[in-house]
Amino acid sequence: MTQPGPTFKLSSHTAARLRELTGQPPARPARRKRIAVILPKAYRGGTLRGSLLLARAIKEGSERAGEDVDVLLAHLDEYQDRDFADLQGLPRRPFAWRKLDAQVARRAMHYSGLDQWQPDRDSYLVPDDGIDNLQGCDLWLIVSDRVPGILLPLRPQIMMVYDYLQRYVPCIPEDESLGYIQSARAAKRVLVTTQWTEHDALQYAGLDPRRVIKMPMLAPDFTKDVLPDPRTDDEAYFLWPTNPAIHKNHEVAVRALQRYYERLGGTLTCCVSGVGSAIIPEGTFPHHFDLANRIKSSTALRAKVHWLGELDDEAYRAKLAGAAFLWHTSRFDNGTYSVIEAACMRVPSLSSDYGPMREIDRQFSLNLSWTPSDDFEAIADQLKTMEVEHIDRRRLLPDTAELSRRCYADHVDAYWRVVRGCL
Amino acid sequence: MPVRRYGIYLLYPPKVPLTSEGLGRLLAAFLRGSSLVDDVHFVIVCPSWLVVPLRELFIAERVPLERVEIHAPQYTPLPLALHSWLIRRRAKRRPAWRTRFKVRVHRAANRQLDGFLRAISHATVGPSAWRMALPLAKCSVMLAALSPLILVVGIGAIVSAKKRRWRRLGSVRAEMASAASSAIDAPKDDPFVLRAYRLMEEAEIERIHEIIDTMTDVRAWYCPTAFWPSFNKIKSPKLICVPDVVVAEFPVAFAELGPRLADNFSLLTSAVRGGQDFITYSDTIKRDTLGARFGIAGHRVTVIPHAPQDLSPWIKGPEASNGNLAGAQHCRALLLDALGRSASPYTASFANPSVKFLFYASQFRPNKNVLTLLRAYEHLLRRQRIGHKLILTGKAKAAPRIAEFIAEHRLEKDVLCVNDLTPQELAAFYKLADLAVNPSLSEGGFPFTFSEALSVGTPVVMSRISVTLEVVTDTALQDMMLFDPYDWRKVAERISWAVDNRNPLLKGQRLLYGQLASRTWADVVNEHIAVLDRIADQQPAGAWQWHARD
Repeated sequence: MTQPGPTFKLSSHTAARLRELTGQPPARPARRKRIAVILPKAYRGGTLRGSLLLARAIKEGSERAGEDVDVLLAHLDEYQDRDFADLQGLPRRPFAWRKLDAQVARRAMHYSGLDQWQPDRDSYLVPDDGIDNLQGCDLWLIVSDRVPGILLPLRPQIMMVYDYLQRYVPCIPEDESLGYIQSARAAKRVLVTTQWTEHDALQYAGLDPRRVIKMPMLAPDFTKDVLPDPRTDDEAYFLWPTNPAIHKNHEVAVRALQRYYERLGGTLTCCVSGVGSAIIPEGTFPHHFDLANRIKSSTALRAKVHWLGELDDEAYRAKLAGAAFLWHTSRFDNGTYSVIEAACMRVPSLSSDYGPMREIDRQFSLNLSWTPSDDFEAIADQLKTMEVEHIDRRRLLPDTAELSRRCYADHVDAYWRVVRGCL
Repeated sequence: MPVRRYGIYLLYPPKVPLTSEGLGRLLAAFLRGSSLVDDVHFVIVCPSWLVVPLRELFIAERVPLERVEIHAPQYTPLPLALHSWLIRRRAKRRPAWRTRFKVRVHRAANRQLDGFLRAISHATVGPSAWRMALPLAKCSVMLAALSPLILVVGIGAIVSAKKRRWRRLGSVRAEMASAASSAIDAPKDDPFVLRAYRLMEEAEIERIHEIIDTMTDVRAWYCPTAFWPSFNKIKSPKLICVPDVVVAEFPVAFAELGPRLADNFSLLTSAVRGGQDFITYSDTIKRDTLGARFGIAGHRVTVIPHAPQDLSPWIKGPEASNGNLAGAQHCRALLLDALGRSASPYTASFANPSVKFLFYASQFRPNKNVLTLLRAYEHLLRRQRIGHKLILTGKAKAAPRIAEFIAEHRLEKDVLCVNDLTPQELAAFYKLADLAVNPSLSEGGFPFTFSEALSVGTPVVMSRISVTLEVVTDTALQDMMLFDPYDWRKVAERISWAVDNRNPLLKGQRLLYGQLASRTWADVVNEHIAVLDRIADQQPAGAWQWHARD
């Protein structure tokens, strides 16, 4: 015969504690979600700026929605503190890519709860931050698809893809290009900022259309910067921001400049600035050989084109503020912030005519002037026209307050909505 | 008075260092607490190999042995006995005759060489130079006399070396010997031994369960960790403690530690998935791990936080009965003793017992965030010239990246790793530290660092993590003592502040410690008993038999 258990009298303290423990757990501040914005390469310029903006937009969007999250910028350890001045106090963490072999990768996935996952390649990458491999973050937002391998899918990923430049300018080895496409295919969402890139994401990269989302472009709000005094001691000039990359179309641009000075009697000096721009006339890269010879043989080009190299932000803005107009020469890419920055400083721009720049023009109402990207004669003509019309074109620039809203404030909520959907 | 009996199920493998690790100390604290409860008796059922280590643990941790009942299979399994015999035999084995002969020849040669060198060193160019003649002549005569032998030995050595090399090239025996040696030294890393161990464990589990089946007077069973799915085979009511599932939070780092952990992880998930009722130490683990990851309903999980670990009794022994001064001297002696055991010549001969240091007592595991602490410390030492040492208790050899960081930054003489501390030594290190630090990223419950340090009057700075925020709720105190563990600059900033503001910090923390100290291990045990009672009462009648004891 079984005997029922005895009635055990608990001490009042224990009884109260037990009631407390077995009932609803005490209110505990729920852990805030944490999002890592990951820069997979040591980008500078537009992509770095874009990443900082993106991190801030997500943080601000979550706050506006009353769903405050922590946002962390993860970057390769190749920067200085001053590179992150625009991060406005958001935390950042350096990391290095670490390769795991297939077996280690399988174990890691198993530990993280994906028991059935099996590797389908020899190695995978994880971001090694020396702390927790960004495992404390609930979502990885990778800014650009330029991840040097396939990321182990330990966390849901959103990937920002700026362009598929390699489709138009063969600048990346084929296997590398395939790796980038596969990285994007593994992401839960792929964000693009232009219709052109959206089209390429579907047509070229073959991404699942349900995963690709066209977002408004975020741009730094340069209207809040104090306008520097334009340098008046210089002769009149226009500014050509560029870098040595092949798609910047230097060969055509220099031919256009030669015609502008030698045939059309152009009077404005051309000031060239940007990372690595000082080496362009030296002909270091094969795509600059002809251009270097052209400059050597042209007195006008040597006299009127000033290769300034990389300027710090302050010097760049001072130079920009004093320019008659800004010239953007790329053959193709995802567009440039420089025309927006110029508009904020009341400087009109002349741009190559391609899809993403048209979209930027529409989103920010910049009223850009256009040139074909491959016709040096037409470009030279347009340079001459800008020489004459630049003062009139300033009147067509958008209102500063309007521009400010379109740069950033209008889009914060849209970014948060997409990110939230992946948490 | 009727006594209710509850069982504790232990299945630790052989050679687990129960005395020097947290899991042993926790079990001991639990049993010490249970010894104060008169109407409940705990019985331990464990493998045969655990009986002696458990007794040693209980003696070291001052658990009243008369209050603990241990049941285990009577005989040691044959493979384990064989393994122990091999280890003993190897320890006793005399070196081979060749080795002994070589040692003797070396010693004799060294003696002669010493005599010769001494004669040269003492000699001068003057008239006393003739004194060198005797030792020189002695050496020459000896060399001449031994020259045939030296020649034969030399040729023999060359021939023998060649033969050995030739033999070794094709020798399967050598490989087998090497494998056997590694299997004896590090059996857990050998897949064959591990498989054999699992089979041996299976057999031992069967024997343990035969014992359990006879213990019908045990109302319910408690398993203090979740690595033993065989616990779920017990038919009586049962309760599993899940301290944490930290592997799941740091999958990459743990995956890189090798395949052995994968087995344990599978065991853990299997034990949790097959479990009925659970205990854990914090609401964080209840919700985020058991709830979110394993989908276990809240009503099946009871949160029972730890009681504080009071280390002060360990440094209030008879040697320290003359007040604080004697206590401090005792602690300093313990500190030098522990440093003296180090394999590092620098640490072993360290002679300043009043050294100022920061202290982090923890094993080196991926969640412990030691690299961030090292980055912060390197900054404090080299940029802020803090001057303190950093003393850690993990084994650097087991964590290559930590060892690499220390070596790369030339911190070997400022970051000291001391291992296998006794409870007295641990208390002494806490007592003498200027500041205890805990940068951990994840823990199952409120880290013991707080109570261990405060109990001997040392302030603490800790990570701002969920389990800590459950306990440290005062925002002013949070700001004083917590840091963001993901940012080494914040860690450095907080340590620097705490070193400069030790007294205000200590004052603030003593209030909290006072509140926490009102909870004792008897409370913890009572709460466990209450849950065990509840689950025992919920079982259908006839599922178990209860015998009241007088």
